[in-house]
Amino acid sequence: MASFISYLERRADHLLELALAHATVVALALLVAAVLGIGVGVAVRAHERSAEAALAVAGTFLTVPSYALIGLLVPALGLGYAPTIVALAMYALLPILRNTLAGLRSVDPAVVECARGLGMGDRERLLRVELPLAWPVILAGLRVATVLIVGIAAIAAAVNGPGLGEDIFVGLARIGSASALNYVLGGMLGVVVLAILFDAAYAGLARITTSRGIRG
Amino acid sequence: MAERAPGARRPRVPAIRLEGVTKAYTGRVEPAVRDLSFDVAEGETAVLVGPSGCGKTTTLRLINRLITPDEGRIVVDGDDVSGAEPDALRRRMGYVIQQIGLFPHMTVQENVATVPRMLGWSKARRGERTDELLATVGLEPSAFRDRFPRELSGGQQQRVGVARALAADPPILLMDEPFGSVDPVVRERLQDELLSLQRRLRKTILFVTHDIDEAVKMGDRIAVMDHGGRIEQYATPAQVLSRPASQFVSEFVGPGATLKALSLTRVGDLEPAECPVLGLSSDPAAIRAAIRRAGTEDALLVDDAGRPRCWVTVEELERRFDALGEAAIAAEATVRRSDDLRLALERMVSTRAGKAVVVDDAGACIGVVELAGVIAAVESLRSHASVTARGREVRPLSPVSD
Ligand SMILES: Nc1ncnc2c1ncn2[C@@H]1O[C@H](COP(=O)(O)OP(=O)(O)O)[C@@H](O)[C@H]1O
Ligand SMILES: [Mg+2]
Repeated sequence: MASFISYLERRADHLLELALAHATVVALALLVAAVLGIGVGVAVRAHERSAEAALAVAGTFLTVPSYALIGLLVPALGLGYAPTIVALAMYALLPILRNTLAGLRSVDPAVVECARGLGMGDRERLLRVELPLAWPVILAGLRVATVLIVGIAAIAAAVNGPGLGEDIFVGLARIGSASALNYVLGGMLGVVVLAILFDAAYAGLARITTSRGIRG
Repeated sequence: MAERAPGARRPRVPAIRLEGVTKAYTGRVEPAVRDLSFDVAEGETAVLVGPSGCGKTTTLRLINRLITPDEGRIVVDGDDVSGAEPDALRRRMGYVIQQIGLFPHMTVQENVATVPRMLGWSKARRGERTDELLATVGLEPSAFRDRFPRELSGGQQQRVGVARALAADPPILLMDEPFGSVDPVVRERLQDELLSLQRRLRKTILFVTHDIDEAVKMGDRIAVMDHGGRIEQYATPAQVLSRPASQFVSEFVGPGATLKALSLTRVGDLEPAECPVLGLSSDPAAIRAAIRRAGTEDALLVDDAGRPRCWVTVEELERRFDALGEAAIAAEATVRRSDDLRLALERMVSTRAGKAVVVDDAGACIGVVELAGVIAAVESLRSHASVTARGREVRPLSPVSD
């Protein structure tokens, strides 16, 4: 225990750097997944069959083992950031898409009817009424996606990707040596702390971006 | 037609006209409305009344193009709606629905200003308009403008719904069972307020309800609708009540049509009853003489301010005048000229005197009405239903007048 703490003290700068890179990858992947997931969700919401198909595809992504997925992306995208972000975005897609659809469908039809009846155009209705009302559910989907990929992002180290996976992989490679456990534990701790920080950020974001009129 | 006010132009331009409109929802064999034709004249309140599922909502949604007809034509203010840009068309028609449908994430102010914002009004003008409208619908602007819908009662929400529909001053209001989701007491108040609002605003209103009492109360004209959007009768409330055009209409109106019709006539329209009115301190002999002269059974005694106190008969006068206070029947049943006959009848039959004193705003007696007057009014309503008690202009029965 004492040795782990002194390890952390020694490696603090390095760990922080890795954590920052880890967070960046996760955030970028989320951004991509959010644009795609919300975009596709909006596009297919009114077509039952397309919605089912989109969900099935996003669900399939999630069943591919992470190690395999990221490896498959390397020939096309090279090493480092690119395959990592794409793989993570693919994993993040399902919760975001599913919640976008659920959120949009949970909007009271009477509210939509009124918006239409008052002469609100499709675009405006989406941006001013449907998405704001679906937002808490969409945000919950983003939150689940984040928890999911913060952990998976460690796999990026397998393709020379950035993040806390680096230390975990180093540790695993040296299993049996004195410092191996410290490396693995340090990386894991970083991931857990990041996940907690992301979650706290979501709580803040939810408060700021959700209208007082629909806050729970 | 003879009753028409001289110089009144008829027909006025119909603000809404449906011609042979048919609409079947996809996947349905039976059309929801079939070959529907009717007009709503400008400035009038027309009520579509009929059982659930008969096509009322469908009709409204056809008019503001939330759905498009399979056949037929809909003309609003002279323009065929099929050629109009739907959003622009809808902004000219306020839309109020039973489920209210306020935007829960927006404040009252933002809800009300929805259409003005879309029309590009400045923020200041929107704020001004919101406050004006909130006051109009009976909500104190400073207390309500920043609230969210969930912080309002059902009745308050629907007031906001009405304010939102009126925001850009559209000439037409489409109201789909607007008061269907509030309790009866609030409903009655909202109805009264809409009536008084309408007296000022003179909008063209198409009001949908399944409640014949509400239809009678709100409508200048009532279209009684059967399944498939078939209009069985389109006439004034008095005509629908006293001369139902079909078995369907009379069954829909139900028993008690005569009592319902009473709500169409005001106390002020009644023939006043003959009745001597004297001061409380009048000499018994004078009272007796007045009764004899008028040929009535009793006289009404009023206090110094003219407020009704009691009824006295000749026998009571003969017994002993000092005991009058106890012997006489207190004249407690009072009505205003603006009250309807339903209320007047209620008051009359709840006192032994069997009549009611008409009082002014200060409570002073200005006349007396009795049962015979009510019966006469019902009779005249029935014999020429074309004379409506609210003094409305009357149109022929045919759905489309030209
Ligand atoms: N969106 C819809 N799809 C299919 N059928 C519908 C739809 N809306 C209404 N209907 C049917 O059309 C008929 C008329 O409905 P509606 O106009 O809502 O009646 P009302 O408002 O008089 O109760 C009913 O039989 C109803 O089931
Ligand atoms: Mg309906």
